Parts: sequence; C-alpha cells; structure tokens
Amino acid sequence: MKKYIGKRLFWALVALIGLSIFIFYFGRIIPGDPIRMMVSPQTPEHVVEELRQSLALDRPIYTQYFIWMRNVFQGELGFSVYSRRSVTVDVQQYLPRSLELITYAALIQITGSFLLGIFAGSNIDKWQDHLTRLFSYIGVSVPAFVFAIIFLLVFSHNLGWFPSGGALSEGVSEPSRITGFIALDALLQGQFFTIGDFIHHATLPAIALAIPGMAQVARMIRSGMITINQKEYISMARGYGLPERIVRFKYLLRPSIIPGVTVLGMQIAMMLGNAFLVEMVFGWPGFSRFAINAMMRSDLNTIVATVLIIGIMFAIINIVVDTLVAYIDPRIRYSGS
Amino acid sequence: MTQQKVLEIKNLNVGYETYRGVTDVIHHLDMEVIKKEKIGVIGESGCGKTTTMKTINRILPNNAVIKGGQVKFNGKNVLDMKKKELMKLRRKNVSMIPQDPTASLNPLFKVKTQMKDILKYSKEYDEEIDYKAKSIELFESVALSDPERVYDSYPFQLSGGMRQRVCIAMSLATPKDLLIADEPTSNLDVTIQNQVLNLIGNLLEERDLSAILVSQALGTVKKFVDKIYVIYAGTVIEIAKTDKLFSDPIHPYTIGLLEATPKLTGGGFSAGIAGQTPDYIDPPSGCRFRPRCPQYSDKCKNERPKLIEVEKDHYVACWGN
Repeated sequence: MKKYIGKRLFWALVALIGLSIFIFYFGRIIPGDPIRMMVSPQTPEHVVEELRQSLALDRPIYTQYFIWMRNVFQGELGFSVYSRRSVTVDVQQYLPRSLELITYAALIQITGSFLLGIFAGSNIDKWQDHLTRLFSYIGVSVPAFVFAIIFLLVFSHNLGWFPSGGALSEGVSEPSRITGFIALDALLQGQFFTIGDFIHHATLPAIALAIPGMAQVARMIRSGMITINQKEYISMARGYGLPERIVRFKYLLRPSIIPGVTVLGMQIAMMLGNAFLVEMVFGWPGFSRFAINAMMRSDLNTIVATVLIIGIMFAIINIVVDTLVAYIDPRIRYSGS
Repeated sequence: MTQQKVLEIKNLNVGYETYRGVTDVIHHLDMEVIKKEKIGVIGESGCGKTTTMKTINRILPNNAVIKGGQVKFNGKNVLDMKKKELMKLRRKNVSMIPQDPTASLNPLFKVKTQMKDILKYSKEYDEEIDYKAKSIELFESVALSDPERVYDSYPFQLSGGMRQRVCIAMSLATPKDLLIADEPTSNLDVTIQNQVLNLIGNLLEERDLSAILVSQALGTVKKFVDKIYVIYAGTVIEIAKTDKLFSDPIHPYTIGLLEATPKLTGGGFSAGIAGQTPDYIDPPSGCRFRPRCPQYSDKCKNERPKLIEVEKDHYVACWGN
C-alpha cells in the first residue's frame, strides 16, 4: 500500500512539473505586454524597461522559469502586476475562503449522492427511483450558477432565510488570522457566533455548487447497485440466508460505489476552478473569481500561480481517491504495487 | 411405506422479462426428490436447469417472473413463503453449490469475512463460537490444503479449484436437507473437475444428503445419482433410474444425448442433435422438441405431451410412444 501511494505521489509530482512548464510558457507567449498593462500610457520608455528588467521579463523564457521555480520553492509566487503585491499574499487571502466553501460543498455532495443513490438503487422502478431520476436530470443539465440565482431569489430575497452575499454579516469581524480559514480560526478562538454566521452565509453557495456533481454521482451509485445486484455473488449471498440489510449494505454497496467515488473526487477537485459564477452570484470572495479576474487582466504570475494551485488540488484529490479506491477494492491494492 | 418427499415441484412456469416480451422458459415442469435420494438433472445449456434450481430457494434475478405452479419443500410451498420462512429455508434447508465459483464469491471481501457472516447468520451456532476454527474445520472437510491461508485470502488469490472448494464449504456451513450442485465443475480445469466431483460424491455419501446434481453431460452424474431427469427447453421429457436411462432411453432427445457422448472405444465424432434450443419468446407449440425431432406427427404440433409412466419408475413425455 505504501509503495502504491508512493508511486502515485511520484507521478503527481511529474505531472505538476509538466503543468508548470506548460502554463508558464503559454502565459508568456499570449499577446499583451504585462508591463504595458501595469503602467499608464504616459510612462517614459526607460521606466518601462527598468521595470521589465526588475521583473526579469527581458530574460529568455527558460531562465524566467528557473527563476520563478526557485522562488516558488521559497514560497514566493511572484509579483502581481494588478494587485501590486506578492501573489502569495493574494493567494493566502482568497484560497482559504474557497477551500472552506468547497469542503462544505463536498460534504453535502458526498452525503447527498450516497443517500440519493442508495435510496434510488434500493427501490428500482418505484417512485423513489423516479423522483431521484428527475432530480438527477435537472441537476446534471442545469448549471450550478442557475441554482445559485434561484436560491438567491427564493431563499434569500423572498423568504429571507439566508443572507444574500459575502462570507460574514456586516458588523461581524473576521477572527484574527491563525490558519486563514474563518471557521477554523473562529473555532480556535472560541467565537462560535462567527462560525454560525459563516455557515449561514456559506450554505446556499455550497448547495448550489454541490448539486451538479451530486446528481451525477447519485445516478452512478444507483446504476452500480443495479449492475452488482445481478452478480452471482449477490444471489449466492441471499441464498446462504444472509439478512437483506447485510447483503445490501455490505456485499452489494461496496462494489457498487467504486465508479462513483472516482467521479466524486473529480467533481470536488473541479469546484476550485469552476465555482466562478457561483462565487460571483453570492459575492463570495473566493479563489475562482480571483483566478478568472487574473486571466482577464493578463496578470501573468497570478495566472500561473492559480493554475498551478488548481493542478495541485487535482493531484492531491486524485491520490486520495486512488488510495480510497484501492482500500475499497483489494484487487487494485494487490496488483497496483 | 410412503416416502417422505423433501422437494416436490408441480407444474412450475417461470419466465424472464426482456425487451422483446416475457419469455416462457420453465414450462409445466414437475420434479420431486425423496428423502436421501440423489437425482441428476441433465440438459443443454439454456434449457432452464439453473432457473429451476434458483426457484427452489428463490434467488432468481429481478427480471424473473414466476407465472405459476408450486415448489413444495417439506410440504410447504416456497413460492408463498414470507420473508422469515424463506430465510429459514435458505439457512437450514437448502444449500447450493454454484456453477461459477469465481463469480459466486464476492471479490472485495476476504474469505473469512464471507465465511463468518454465513456462519453467524445461519443462527445455527452460538454467538461465541470460534468462527475461524469452525471455518477451518469446514475447509478441511472439503480437502482444502493450507486452510489457514485460504481463510485469510481474498478470492482472487485462490485458484479455481480452491474457490469451488470454498463454495462447497460455505454450502455445508450448516447441516441441510437438500444440497443442490448446479454444474459444479463446468467452470473448472479438466484436471480439477474429477477431484471436485469425487469430493461432492463423497460428501453426499458420508452425510447421506438428499441432492440434486445438475449437469450438461450424462457421464458426469452417472456415478452419483439414483435417478435422472432429462430436461429439454424447460420441460421434463424423461425420468428414469440411472441404469435404465443408459440402457433403455426412450425419448428421441435422450437417445440423441446418449449418442452425442464420446465413447472411450472410439468411433470418431458423434452426430449430435441438429438445431438448437428454441426461442423462449415464441416457443414451438405442442412438443417443444418437435422442430429437432427425427420423427414427429401432427399430434406433436398441437398437444403438449405429458409425462407417462411407461414402466415402473420410467416416465417419458413423447407422443411417439
């Protein structure tokens, strides 16, 4: 098992280095001069050139890459020409906010897809199944931001159950920074009201983010259960006189969820980059918005940093998923090393 | 002396829901097993042997439709049983050795987990029994070498023969009234087939069980059974004592089957029986064997032949007699 994980870690690292070269290179060859975008049209030419030199933008691309790489290992992601401060500082501000939202959304997604999938898979062709199918079709075909808008209208504007935007109410101040995660920092400092307020704000965007993946995975778990239910070993388990709950929740469920688990991992990893519109709708000060804005502003270092972070997120979740699947299915565990 | 019937199937009809409609596989099937009797069930693949066996402890797939008939086990109709009675039947009365041991063991759980659950939920033993010791005892009774290793393995770490022995051990976990072996060797290597068959034969003799041995080949069961049922397309077409069936087959299908068996004395390839099992969506009217029968009349087309006792303990369903 250790060997299995080690191997995956190694390949994740290779993939990330490849990704960094790729994104660094393409960031440098897209049209638009980042220095020109930084300065005003009246800036004298020699100032522009000095700035270019100070940011090493006049050097060959591979030299720039190695300089950048060396800095990255020291925790320095470069200078943002837009925010005019280190990208590291920006990332520290926006990333935790998104990770918190994604964690919340992932919890909803995992619980929801399992419950719905099992609910439908245990009642094939009955109303429970049809209801879940309806939900799944809607969930898969309607984009998350549409849910975000509907939720905002119904639950925030009309019913007033939830706040309409931001991460905390006005007048509630952020807990002093320890980890950068509001809920965690508030917990560490015993500010329970702040946690409640934060969760209250995060609920609607988290549900909106969770729905599409939840709909898809619920469907996969359902079909997994149908397929596995036809396996000989399930008939035999029933034939030995095992109680239905043991057959269903032990022998049937475990093989049924494997494809769903893989897709769940992908869905969660994708939220980091895909949450843009949901974050927009709810005015959530998140990473996705930050990343998209950087692209619109040709903010090179920020683009490279955000893409790389999304890549790292994918790599981590992939390793977690691979490990989980290997844990569920011993055949992978034993042949994979 | 009236003999106690362990199993009595009467006029059973079973089909499957398919996209083309509901099939009509098991067609007016009758069968009975008397206490301690061992019967053989012979027929081509797709003739409904497994379907019949799975009806006995009700482990048919979801799309199966039981259209009618009775399956009486110790006098009680299995088809009317409530959940609780059915559980008891599966735990205490009927056990099955599967056709494909690889597909019949859950690939994600160790043998010990599966074995333990079977023992635990059989409600035959105390909660406190040593599941490992009991499992190993069972493994030894099926001549599994290195039972300790097998106990702690996943099914995919075992060979085909070992898997089948594990399945046999599972089916013997509690003492049963009826043992069904559904083509227990068809998915094994030829070299292992005989070993497993002899093992089952010995177990049947030792424990004096009632048993149904299902096979495609007459030769395999010959040694172990008292009586043979020949099934064609979901109907029983001939029943006879084992010796009688070999010496004196009557139904043209049985005769064809016997001729199709390669003989040690040589003589080249046998002719076989032309044609194939019918389409169960729209099976032939009257006698189902008619399209393949060398000698049929109009009567065969219009009326279903019933089993008739042509001599003592020898039944045939054929208008030709």
